[in-house]
Amino acid sequence: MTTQPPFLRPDSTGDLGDPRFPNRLAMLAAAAAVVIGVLLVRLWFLQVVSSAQYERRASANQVRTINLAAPRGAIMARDGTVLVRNRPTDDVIARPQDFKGRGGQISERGRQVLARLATRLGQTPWSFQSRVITALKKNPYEDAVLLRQADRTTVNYLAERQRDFPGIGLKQAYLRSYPEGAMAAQVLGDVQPIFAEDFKAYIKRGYVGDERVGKSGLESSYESYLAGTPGSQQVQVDAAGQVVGAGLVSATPPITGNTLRTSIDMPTQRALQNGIARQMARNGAPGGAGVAIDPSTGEILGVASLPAYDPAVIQDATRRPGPVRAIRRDPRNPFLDRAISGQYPVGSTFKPITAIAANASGVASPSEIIDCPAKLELFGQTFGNFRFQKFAPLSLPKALEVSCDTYFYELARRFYERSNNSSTGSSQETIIQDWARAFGLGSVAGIDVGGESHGLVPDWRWKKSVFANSVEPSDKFWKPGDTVNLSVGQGDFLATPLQMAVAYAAIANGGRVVTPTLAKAIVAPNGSVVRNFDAGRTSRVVTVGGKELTPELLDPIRQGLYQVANAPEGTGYGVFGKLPDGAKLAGKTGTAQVRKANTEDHSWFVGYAPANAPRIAVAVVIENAGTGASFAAPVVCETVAAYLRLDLKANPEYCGAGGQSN
Amino acid sequence: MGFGVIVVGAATRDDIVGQPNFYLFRQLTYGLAGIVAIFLAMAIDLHRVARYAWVLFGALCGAVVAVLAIGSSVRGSTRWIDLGVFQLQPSEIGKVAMILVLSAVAVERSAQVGTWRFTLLMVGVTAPPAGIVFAQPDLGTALVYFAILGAVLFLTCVPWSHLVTIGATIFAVALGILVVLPSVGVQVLKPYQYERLVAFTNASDNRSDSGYQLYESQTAIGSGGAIGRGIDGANQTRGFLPERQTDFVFASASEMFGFVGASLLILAYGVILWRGLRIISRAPSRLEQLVGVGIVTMFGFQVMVNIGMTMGIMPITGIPLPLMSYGGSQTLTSMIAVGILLGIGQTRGTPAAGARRWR
Repeated sequence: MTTQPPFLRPDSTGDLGDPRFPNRLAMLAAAAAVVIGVLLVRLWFLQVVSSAQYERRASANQVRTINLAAPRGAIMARDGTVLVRNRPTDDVIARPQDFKGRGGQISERGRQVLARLATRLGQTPWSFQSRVITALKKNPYEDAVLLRQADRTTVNYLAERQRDFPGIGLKQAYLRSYPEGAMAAQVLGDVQPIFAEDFKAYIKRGYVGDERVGKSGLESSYESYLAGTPGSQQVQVDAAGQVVGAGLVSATPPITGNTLRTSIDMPTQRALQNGIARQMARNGAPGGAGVAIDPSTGEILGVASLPAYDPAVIQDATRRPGPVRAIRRDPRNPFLDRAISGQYPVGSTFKPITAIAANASGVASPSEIIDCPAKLELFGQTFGNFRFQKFAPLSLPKALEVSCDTYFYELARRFYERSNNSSTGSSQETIIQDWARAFGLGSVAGIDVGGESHGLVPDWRWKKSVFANSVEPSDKFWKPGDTVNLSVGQGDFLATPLQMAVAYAAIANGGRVVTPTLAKAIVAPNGSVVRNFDAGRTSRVVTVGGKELTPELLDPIRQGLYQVANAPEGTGYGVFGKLPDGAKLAGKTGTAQVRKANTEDHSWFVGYAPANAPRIAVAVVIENAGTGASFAAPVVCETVAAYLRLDLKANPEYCGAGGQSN
Repeated sequence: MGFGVIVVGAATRDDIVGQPNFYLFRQLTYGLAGIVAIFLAMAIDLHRVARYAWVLFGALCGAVVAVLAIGSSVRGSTRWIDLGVFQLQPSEIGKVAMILVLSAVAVERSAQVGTWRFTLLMVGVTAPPAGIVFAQPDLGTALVYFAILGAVLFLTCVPWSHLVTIGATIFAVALGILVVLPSVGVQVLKPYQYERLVAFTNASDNRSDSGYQLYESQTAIGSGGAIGRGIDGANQTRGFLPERQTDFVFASASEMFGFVGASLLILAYGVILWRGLRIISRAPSRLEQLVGVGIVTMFGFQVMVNIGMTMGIMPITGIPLPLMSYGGSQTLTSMIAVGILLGIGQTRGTPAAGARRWR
């Protein structure tokens, strides 16, 4: 028996049997002492020796970097009217590192938190989990947005119960709001969260990743100016992610984005957009579009595409998906920007280009008197005038004034016969097409928003490639009827309202094709101009084979266009005839036939004013409405009046209702 | 004399657990019930109980089986029977039952001590309830049962050869479960159990579920420093530490009260063990001695494994810290055990009188 501590001495245990018992009890006591000792030593090491290390670890748990979204810059009209501004909103976010589990998965606790949150917010737990898992893969230190634009109730609920949802937080973000509603909606463009597939590209450009970025229109084109610089904040938080006390450790405030000032003139924009809407409503036209530009600079003064929509509903789509779904399902496709992407046959508004081509190539001269019969037999086909009207033989200006189709058919015949191939009946003549292209048709005008269409200037090469597989061999060739159709803007020819506005601007400005732009200046939050787009505008001279638009070529056209609006027989006289001196307009009606049976023609009008010193060029099309004079022309008149600041309310006679000629 | 120590333990316990008042009041209720339980347990006549040892054994086995059949599950484990007011965890109370049964059997068969027949009988009595508890699954409590068995065998003075044989067998089985069988594709342990058992070897590299618990636990303890962050400053505990009021309650206490508080707590357990051993050494009979040994072992083993795991020197098993961890069954069990121990202390010197009192 070994020596024992006194308390183990079996003084009163009597005959409890085994003499080995005290010995074994002592061993048990020794084991207990060792256990207590080891625990104390380990505790000493943790809490005293390496305490600093764990303190650091603990504070790493406690300081959290919060990215602060930067408000985007506003988009303004020419006069400072705000078109797009910011609306603060709260997003529900998850801090991915708080959900980190094994092998890129979410920890058990995290799963529970997300499940509870999902139930509360009426979402599926899986959608939240997948977002957190994606974020863990990308960068666990960036917040993952679970729900954008939380409503008031959700925000209050989460703000009060942060402790119940560790790793979940609220974060201020900015949505776009649109004080002018649907005005110029399509060109303003959309701001949306970065798509997963674009994430890496944006990170490379210095984005944090949770920004809302411009996805289309001006928002996208001028993203680099509009997007501000996000700030960040290091705050002390407790474990639930709740900020402790004042909490702020350090902060870099976000920098607001620059403002984009556009060239849009609000009265012009309103007159254009409201006018199109009103004309569409008259006979239920499915769509319409218009562009107003400054013919000397290319600045867009107004741009409208209808049906339009209030872009605010897209910003609200996460919360109220209904309206957006309705827009998306609308067969008229309100998202399509008809002003720059809508491709239409343009009808008689094309005639000035045919005339210029004829005069420049010597096929005809402006003063030559040509017959204007009700119909013309050409190449075994009959081509008639609009409503088989007939006029006394006329010169070019008068032909434009009354919009005599047979005059231009005759020009077409001359073009065709210059160069037909007698064996196939085909022609490789492209003089009309060359001039059309010189006016910017058939290629994008280069406006500073995406999505522009090329339009189509058809020629024999185009026919050859498009109909290469056609069973009918003659389809592959450019036939006389094609030239006849093209001469009056029909057939396969297509152009956008923007292209037509630019083409007429070239007639107005003496022969330069301007580059249309919406941006006028970038202005910093402090008011200083970061970039002025007025300097460095480009334009291109209209030229075909070295031949430019001399006054000899242009003047008869301008004269004709003036007569359209101001001569009593002019097709636009009923609308424009009463415009006051100094605001006289020159332009052309167009009634473009649509191939679909039982469908009304597209109503076109393109013009510029004042006729002697043009300051504005406008192109308007109303789809399937009727004649150019009755639907498109009144819109052009009101738009011009608005830009020239004519008081239409006091002088309603300035713009007439329009007649029934083409 | 041991009573004062227990009161200290109880008081500290209430300090720690009282974060949200829900737990505070519930645990306070359990504590008060526990104090009543102490006095009731002190009055228990162990010799009388010992006569019904086999009944007790049957009840124990029945209860743990019943849990498997009708019990309610929490996080994948079925350990509780819903009694309406609170969820009874029979395997906890079972610890005390196990102690009483093993001690009674050992005394009853004291003539056979030293034979393999006796040793195997003891193992045979322990294995069924322990096995069922293991299947709940509750590895920790099953281990406590075996620890009690080991201590009781040890102090019935079973020959060393037997102890070594049993020890070697357990080692071989453990090796088989942890290393050999998984390597041939047979998983005896639940994946999480295996993971927790091995996670303590590399806590900081392994900040995922099981490593995560340990990582946060050590962070909480370490950040407590020498004097602690106080009840209000215990940020780690409140947000990052999992199971902060149950299995990792020691980490909570350590962050709040630092080395000063935590070491006093460990020392307090040392004092309980010391007083327990002292009571054992003066116990009136073999039965009281063995019951005392079982209780002291139960305490000591749980303290070792629980505190050890929070500091990363023991594998993580779901063993509560006696008198500290939140939980009704656990608290009552610990206090009943304390009561029994105190009862043994009271009957010191008058074994016959004590034994006769209730006859």
